[in-house]
Amino acid sequence: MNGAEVLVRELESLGVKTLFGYPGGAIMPFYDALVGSDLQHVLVRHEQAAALAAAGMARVTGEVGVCVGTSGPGATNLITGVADAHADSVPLVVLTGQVPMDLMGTDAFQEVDVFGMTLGIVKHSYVVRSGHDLRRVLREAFWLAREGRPGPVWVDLPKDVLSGPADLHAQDRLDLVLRRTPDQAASLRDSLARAASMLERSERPLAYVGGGVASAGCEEELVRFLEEQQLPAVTTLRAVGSVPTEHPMLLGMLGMHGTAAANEAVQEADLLLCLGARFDDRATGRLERFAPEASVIHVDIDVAELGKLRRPAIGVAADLSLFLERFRPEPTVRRQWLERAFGRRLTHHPRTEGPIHAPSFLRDLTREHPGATVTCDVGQHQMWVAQAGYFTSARQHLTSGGLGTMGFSLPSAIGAALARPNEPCLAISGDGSFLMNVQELATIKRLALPIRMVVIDNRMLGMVRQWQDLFFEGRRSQVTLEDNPEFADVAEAFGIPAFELARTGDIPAALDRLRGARGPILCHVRVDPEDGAWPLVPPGAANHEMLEPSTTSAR
Amino acid sequence: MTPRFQFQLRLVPERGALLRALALVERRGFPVDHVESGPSPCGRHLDVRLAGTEAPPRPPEVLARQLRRLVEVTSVVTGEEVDHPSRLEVRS
Repeated sequence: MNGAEVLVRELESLGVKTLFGYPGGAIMPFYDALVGSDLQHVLVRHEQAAALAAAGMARVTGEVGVCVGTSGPGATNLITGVADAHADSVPLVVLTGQVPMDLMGTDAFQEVDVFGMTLGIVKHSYVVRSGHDLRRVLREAFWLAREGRPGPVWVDLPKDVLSGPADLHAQDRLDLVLRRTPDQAASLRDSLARAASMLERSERPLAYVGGGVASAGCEEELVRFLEEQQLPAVTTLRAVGSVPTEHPMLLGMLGMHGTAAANEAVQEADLLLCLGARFDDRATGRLERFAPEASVIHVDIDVAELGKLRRPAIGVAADLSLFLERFRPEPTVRRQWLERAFGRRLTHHPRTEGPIHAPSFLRDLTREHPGATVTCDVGQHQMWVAQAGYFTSARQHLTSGGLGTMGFSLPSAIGAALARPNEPCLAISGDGSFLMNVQELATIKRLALPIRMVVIDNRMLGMVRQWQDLFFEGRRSQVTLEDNPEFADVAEAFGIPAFELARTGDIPAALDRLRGARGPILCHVRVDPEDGAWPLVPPGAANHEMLEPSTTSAR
Repeated sequence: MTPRFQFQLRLVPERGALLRALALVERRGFPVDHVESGPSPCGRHLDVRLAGTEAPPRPPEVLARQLRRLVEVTSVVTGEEVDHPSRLEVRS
């Protein structure tokens, strides 16, 4: 067998069913070996979409996503999607062709130093130099991608390794696994009793929930813990859905576009129980003024997160499901704190006339699709989905939290729709983001994926416009997208039915049409370009210093 | 005098291991002043001394934990060099 054949056999034996990619010169032996294999290869129309689709599948399932590209531009096109997976701790294995080993370092055709270029955006990477290492490397790559804090692992494959001899029965090397398996029990043993005592003594405790909860698969345990402890919770953008939207212990999302209830509770808390969050600047605002009265218990599978930005009183390097299983403080009722924290929750008042109010529409859309996977792009609509969307699990809400990748929605919806073929999938985009991976309409059409696409079109790069109005004295620079195409016509050109929604009164019919769709469909929603994403914490401010439309003088 | 932090790493002798470790130190905002590396009984050693001209952006212990996460890194010892290389206070 040659290296490519071993690679395909090994992917099959690792349980891979689907991979996303685009062929080219150096990776051709792999594509040749795919012929007749059991693997489903999804041919996308741009490598960035391959990485984002594979990560979309991984975000929904928790399993390792796999994407493939050739050397040179194939590899560089993958990079944004891989950086996105790295920023959001998504398990991914990336396979790229490379020029033959005797040409490496000669500036050969389609040669780039992908190992060097990607050092900062991968959990680990390999350049495989012998076919006899392939099996071991692939097994390590899959194990590493999932182990501890998940992340992307890049495997670069010189063409002569793929076409040369390889050993399907090469031995695994177990020392890597042994070396990297931490003693979580010791960390827990040292800290559980102290953490319980801190929580019991606290008068204003708050759970600060991050993406680690979904990664650890312990959303149900978290909710049970919050209920037992009567502990209010705020979530990061990535954790939206970890506590169901209407759960009585949820104060909402914190941070730059968080709810007033969440941000003010954080500022008043005397104890933050940080579960799988990382004190990201979008969540904390000005770090030194974040939760100024709180001591911190920080629990994270990644020991390097403990004390990185905020020194915890107690740091616990452990899997969150293990922590929640063993953490048993004596429940304490803090009536005054709960009344104060939950008293700030606002009732939603939808706009019933005039231009379509996107947050209200998105709230209705997600309520009409309970259980659906929702993918977002980046910008105002992303915040509106996070603020107004209805979710019962974080794995339902796919958003580019760390990297903020415009163009995320369509490809990640492809991965999500393939992973959950029996559940509806909503792909929500802004008009700017939608055109960044619009070519994937071809993939969606070819696979007849039942993705309900919604383009929130304000003919503007709305979030940039809002910032220019607020922080650059209203000087609007390069944000107008008046020359947008007719999005319904674009979809129809790809063979996808589409329609336009421009009036509030037509929303019920539009929701019916989307809900009734059996295959892909696109809804082009026209909204007011002057609408903003509120509240907003200005850069450099503390989280309770939120701007609301009534407190600003935007033009 | 500003203390100069030093890291002593032990690495699995894989290709790319040195580059990955050094890139991480620089990328995390710690300016490198001096590097020494060679084979060791455990594989390869890498001694990194940070420039003492500016305060590190974050506690060096955080960098040590980030280095320990690297797959090829088997151990990291941090120390603080106060005014003479021989006076290294070692914290593991």
